[in-house]
Amino acid sequence: MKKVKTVLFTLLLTLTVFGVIVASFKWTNWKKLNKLDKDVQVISKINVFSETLIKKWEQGASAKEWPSIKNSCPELGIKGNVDPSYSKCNSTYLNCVLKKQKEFNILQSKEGLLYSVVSRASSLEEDIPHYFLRILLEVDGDLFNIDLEDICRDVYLPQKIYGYKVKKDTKRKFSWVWDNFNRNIFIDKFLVTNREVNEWITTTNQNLEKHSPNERPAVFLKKDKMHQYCAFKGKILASAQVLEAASFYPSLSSVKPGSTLIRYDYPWVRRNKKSFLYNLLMNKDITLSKENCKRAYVQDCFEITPFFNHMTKSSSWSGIFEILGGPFETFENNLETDRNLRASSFYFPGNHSVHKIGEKLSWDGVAHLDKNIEWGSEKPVGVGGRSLEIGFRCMKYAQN
Amino acid sequence: MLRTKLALIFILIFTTSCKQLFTDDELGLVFEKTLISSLSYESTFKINAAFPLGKTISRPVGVWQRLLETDNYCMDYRIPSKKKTGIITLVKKEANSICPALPIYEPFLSLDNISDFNFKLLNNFISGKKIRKATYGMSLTFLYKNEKRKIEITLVNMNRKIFKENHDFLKYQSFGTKYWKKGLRISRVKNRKIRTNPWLVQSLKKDSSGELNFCERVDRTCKVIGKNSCYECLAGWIPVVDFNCPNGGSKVCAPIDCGKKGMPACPRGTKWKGVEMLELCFDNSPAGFCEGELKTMCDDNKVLICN
Repeated sequence: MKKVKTVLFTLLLTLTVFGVIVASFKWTNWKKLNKLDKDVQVISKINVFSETLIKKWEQGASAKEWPSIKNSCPELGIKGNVDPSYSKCNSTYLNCVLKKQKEFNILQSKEGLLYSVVSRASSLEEDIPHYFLRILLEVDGDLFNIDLEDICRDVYLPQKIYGYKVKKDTKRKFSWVWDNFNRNIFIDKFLVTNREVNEWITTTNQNLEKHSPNERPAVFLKKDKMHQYCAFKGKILASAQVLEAASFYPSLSSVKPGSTLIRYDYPWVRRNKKSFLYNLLMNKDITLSKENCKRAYVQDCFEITPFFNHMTKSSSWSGIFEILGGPFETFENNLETDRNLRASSFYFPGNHSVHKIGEKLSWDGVAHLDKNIEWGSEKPVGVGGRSLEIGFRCMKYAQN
Repeated sequence: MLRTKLALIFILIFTTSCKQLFTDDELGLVFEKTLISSLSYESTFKINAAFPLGKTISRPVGVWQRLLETDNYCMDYRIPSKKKTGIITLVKKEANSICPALPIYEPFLSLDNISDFNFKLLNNFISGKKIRKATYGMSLTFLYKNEKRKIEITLVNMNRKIFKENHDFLKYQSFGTKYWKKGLRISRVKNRKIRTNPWLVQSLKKDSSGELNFCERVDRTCKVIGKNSCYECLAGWIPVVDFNCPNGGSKVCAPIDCGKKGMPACPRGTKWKGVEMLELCFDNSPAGFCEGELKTMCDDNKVLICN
């Protein structure tokens, strides 16, 4: 009887231990599967969120949102005329978008800022681009980074033969040409804005004055600071040759070796007579319109309409904007070093001959007074003693 | 007492041999979800070219093969034979970012009894046509215990460079879309890696000899000598003029004042001149330009400079 009891006891004990172990394994398995399931769901949710985010980042404010943008996103601090394209890849606009979302817990980098600027100048993280925005999400105790690169600012310069207008060029044919076959070049579509420079000043703790309004081109930096700004973005200051390549309408033969290239003076047309600037120059009896000023904001435009910022009506064949009129634009010129300033600007009246692509002046890059510019015979009236506005844009080389 | 001990030992041996008592279905689920969780934010995918994407892998039978290498993982497959079952494994890379040698005895993740395995990577090009909202990802199909399974993983960070269609830049393309789909990348903070070296800045050697520190050096056969480190330049890079290769000539980290006396000439190409040549470095070469009256000349380093 005792033996039976012992056997039964042993069996019962064994079964109990077995049952407990099995149950504990099953419980652990259930927990593991549950955790994995949750993890996969979080990944899927973040993927969906990032898709929505990238859409807003890339497309900016919609045509419907734009008229009321000053109320819906007062942080943008818009004061003047601005094209909606200004909200594309714009960190301030993105911050407004992020503030409105309720789905995720986004950690603030600073008071009121739901993103941080990361650049190679300040981070040694592996495999990061030169510059991007980072959004930090907290989901169930796990931290995730959503990184957004600026995909709206630059454009690819197709591989072709291009012309550059040297000082002695008087005929319709370029006398100095070059090509970028086997070299990939990206150039900024727009002049760098105050918003971008102010962001750089904050991120890199530069001892520089910030300027407003944010949407205006950044026009008060000295040349060495322009170089530093472009380097921060992993770029270099745009060169005269690249800028003119992206501005001059290319000849049809510009992919054929050794071809002769014809120069077209205006970025929008091959025939000069179709350009209002040419007609103004020829003293044709035409009245400057608001639409004309959207293309090239020349001096006479001040009487017609306030300046247009980030205007996309003035596109060149390659997709760059702000080519003629507006503030001056400086560039690097390693061929004719004393010709480093685009002459066409709102300092000259519409009927002046400087309003053509390739017309250049010389700037010493040190200050913004009239004496810092070599005007030659072109000095317009009213520039003496003023701080002159000189903008810039960047470019970069890339590998396939 | 002895019998009780023996029984307990038996239970322990039994339970540990049963992979924590997962059912076959659960094992499949654990594999699927761990795979998704591990690979979702990987960006580089080195594929074993011996196994064409989308084709069932059936040879060499009974042998371990490395199928794929990502930033942090290696995926291996023992192709089933009559005597050996098929096993798919995922293993974490070692500290030096190298995949351990095959076979691996303690993988991070594995699934046994696999056959008819095939995998493919998807992009937004289908038959050469661009699909606007297509998803970048990976798809795995296989038989597990003779039951068909399909695992699909969205790879938001997948480096587009692996697709040949995206190699050439297009008009209106932004640099930001070069590697990442729409310039977007997602990562787990805990997986962040920090460089041990600073970003590269020095383009001229410190001994002020005017010699260049190249981030990519090519030879006359267009072969890259050593390692290309231009992606590590702090402020981008600039091409110099030496050889006319499909990916340009040698490169140095920016900034460098091309065109100035004693500095590399700025690249000008040769097609504008109506000629195509491989060696661009010779005195008065038209492949570069300099400021003012300076002329191009080939220096001892075989780089076109201004003098």
